[in-house]
Amino acid sequence: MPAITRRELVLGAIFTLTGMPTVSSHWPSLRTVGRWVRGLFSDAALAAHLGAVYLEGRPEERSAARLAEALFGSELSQQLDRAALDRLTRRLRAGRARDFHNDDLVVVGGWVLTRTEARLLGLVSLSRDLSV
Amino acid sequence: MLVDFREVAGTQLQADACVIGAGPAGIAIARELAEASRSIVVLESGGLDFDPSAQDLCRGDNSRGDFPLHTSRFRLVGGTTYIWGGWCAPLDDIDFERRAWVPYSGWPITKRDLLPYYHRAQPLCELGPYRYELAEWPSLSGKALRLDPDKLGHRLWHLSPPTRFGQVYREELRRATNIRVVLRATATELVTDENAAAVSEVRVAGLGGARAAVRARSYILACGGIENARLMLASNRVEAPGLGNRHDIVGRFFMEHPHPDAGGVFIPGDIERFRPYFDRGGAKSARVVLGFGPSRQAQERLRILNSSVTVGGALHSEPSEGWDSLVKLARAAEEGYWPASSATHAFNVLRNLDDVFREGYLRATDAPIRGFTFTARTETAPNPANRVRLASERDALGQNRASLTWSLGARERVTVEKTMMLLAAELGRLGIGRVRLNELLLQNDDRWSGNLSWFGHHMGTTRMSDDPKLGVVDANCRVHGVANLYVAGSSVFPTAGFANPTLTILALALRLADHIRPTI
Repeated sequence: MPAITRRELVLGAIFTLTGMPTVSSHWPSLRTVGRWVRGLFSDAALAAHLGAVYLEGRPEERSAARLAEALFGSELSQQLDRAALDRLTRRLRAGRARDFHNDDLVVVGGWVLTRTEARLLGLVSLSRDLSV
Repeated sequence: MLVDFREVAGTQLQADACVIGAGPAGIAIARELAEASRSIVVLESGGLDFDPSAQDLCRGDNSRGDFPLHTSRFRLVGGTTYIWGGWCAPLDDIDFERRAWVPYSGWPITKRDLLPYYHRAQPLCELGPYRYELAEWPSLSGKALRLDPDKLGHRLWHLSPPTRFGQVYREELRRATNIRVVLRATATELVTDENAAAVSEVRVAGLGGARAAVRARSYILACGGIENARLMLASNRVEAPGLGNRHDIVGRFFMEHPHPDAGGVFIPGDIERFRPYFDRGGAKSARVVLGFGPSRQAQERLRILNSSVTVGGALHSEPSEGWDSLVKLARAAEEGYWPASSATHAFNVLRNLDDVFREGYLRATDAPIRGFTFTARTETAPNPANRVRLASERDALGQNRASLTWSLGARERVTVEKTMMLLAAELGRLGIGRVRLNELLLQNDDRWSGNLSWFGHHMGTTRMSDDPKLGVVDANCRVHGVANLYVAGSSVFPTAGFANPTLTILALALRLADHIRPTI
C-alpha cells in the first residue's frame, strides 16, 4: 500500500464538513451525488485513495448505489437544490455523531474514522470511476 | 550513620531490623522504624554515588532483549530514584479487585487499606496533598473534556521534582544514630534455621572479598523487583528451590509496564481545548499530568487490562510511525543502547521518509502545532511463565546472575488498541480531532512489542496472596512460612495497574513499617 501523504487535508474536510458547494440538477444521478461528495474534500484524489483503502477489504460495499443509500437513504431526492444538500449534510453529521456514540469506527490507513466518514470516502473513490 | 563495608568487615552486626536495599522502600522503612527508637542496619550494595563495579552485579539475561537488566535498576543509595522521572499515581480500586477476565488478579488488601499510607507517602516524594481526583483540581477540571464515563476516564499523576532519595535523605541517614547504612555491602544469602522457618542471619560480601553477617529480629528485603526474588532463590541451603519457594512461586509472575508509541491526534482547530493534556504546569500550584484511560465499565465490557494514554510530544504535521521510530532511535543513541527492534525502527523511518521530512521541516520552521503523539502504558497480565530464575553465570561475588524469561501476550496489545479506539471515539465525538493509531497495534502478532519503551517497573516476582500456593508474601508482606522475613517493593504487587509503581511501593513500605514496629 503506498504511503498516504497530506492526509491532513482530507481529514480537515472530514472533520469540518463545511463549505460545501451547491450543485443544481434536475436529475440527481449517482454522478451528480458523487460530484457533490467529491467537492466536500479539498483533495478529492486523496479522499478517493483513502476510500479505496477502506473498500479494499469490504467487497460488499463496492457499490456507489449501496453506499449512497447507506449514507443518505430517503434524503436523496429528485431535486438537489440547496435545501436538499443541507439535509444531506445534516444527515452526514448525524450519522457521524451516531457512529461515535455507538463506537462504529473503522481504521483506514491508520486513521480512526466513523463508518459514515469511511463510506463517504468510499463513495468518492467509486464516483471517480464513474468518470464525472 | 553511613559506614563503609570495610569498617565492619569480618564482624557480626546486631540490630532490631535488617533492611536489605537502600532504595525508596528501604529508606522509608528505616526512617519509620528509627523514629520508634529501633536499631536498624541497612545493607546497600552500592555507595553514595554511581559505581560501575557495583552496578555490574545487576547484569543478567533478559530473554526479550528489549531492555538490559543492568540499566533498568540502580545500585546506590536511593536505588532507581537515581534516574526516575517522578511520575506518581495510586493504583485504582479495580486494580486491587479480582477481575473475572484477568487470571490471577486480586490483592488480599483493598485500596481503602492502603489509602492512609498513600497520604503519608506523598511528602516522601516532595509532593503536596493526596489529590488524584480531577474534581480536586478546579483549574484543571473546568477545562478538561467531558468524557463519557462508560468509555473513558481521566488519569492524573503528580510529578515529583523528582526526589532523588539518595540525595534528599542522605544527611538524615548520616545523622541518624540508630540507623547504620552499610555501603558497598551486598547481601548474598539469607541463612535460616534447619526448618527454613525463620531467618537467623544475613551473609554479606564486599567486592574486595571481605565478608560479614547481620543478625536481627526481622529482615526486610527491599532490593527491587528482580533482586528480591534473586536473593530468595539464592538462599537455597536448606530448601533447594530457594527460601519461601515451597510452591515454586518465587520469581514467577514478573510484570512490567510496556509503553508503546500508540499513535497521535490531528487537531484541525484550536489546540487550546486540549491544553489540560499537554500543559503540565496547568494546575498552577503543582506539576501534574492529565491523561486518559479506560473506565471501569469499559474494562469490564471489553475484558481488557487497565491502561493509560498521555500526550507524548507535539506534532506539526500528523502522527506517523516514521516519526515515532525516529524518536525511538534518537533515544537509543542518547542512551547508547540499541534494542533488538532498532532495525525495524530504521526501516520505519525509511518507509515513511516523506512524513519524517515534513515533520522535521515544519519543526525547523516553527510551524504551528497541529497535534500530539500519544504514549500508552498498559499493565501486563499476571502470568506464571514470566519469571526470574538463577542463571548459571556468576557475578564478581560468585552469585548466580538473574535470568529473566518472559513474553507479552495478545491481551496487552488488545488493551492498548481498544483504549486508543475509545480515545479516538471520544476525541471525535467532542470535536477535538481525529486519532491515528500506530498500525503495529492492529497486527494480530507480536510485532507491536518491538515498539515499546521501558522504564524499569519490575513487579510481581514475590507477589502478595493469602494463599501460599499463589503468592510469596501474605497481606502483611511477610513471606509465607518464614516467621521474620518481609518483602518491600513492587515485587509484592499481584497486579500492576496503569500507575507508575513508586507511590504504591512507598505506601506499602510505610504500612509494612507500621506492622513490624510492635514486633521488634
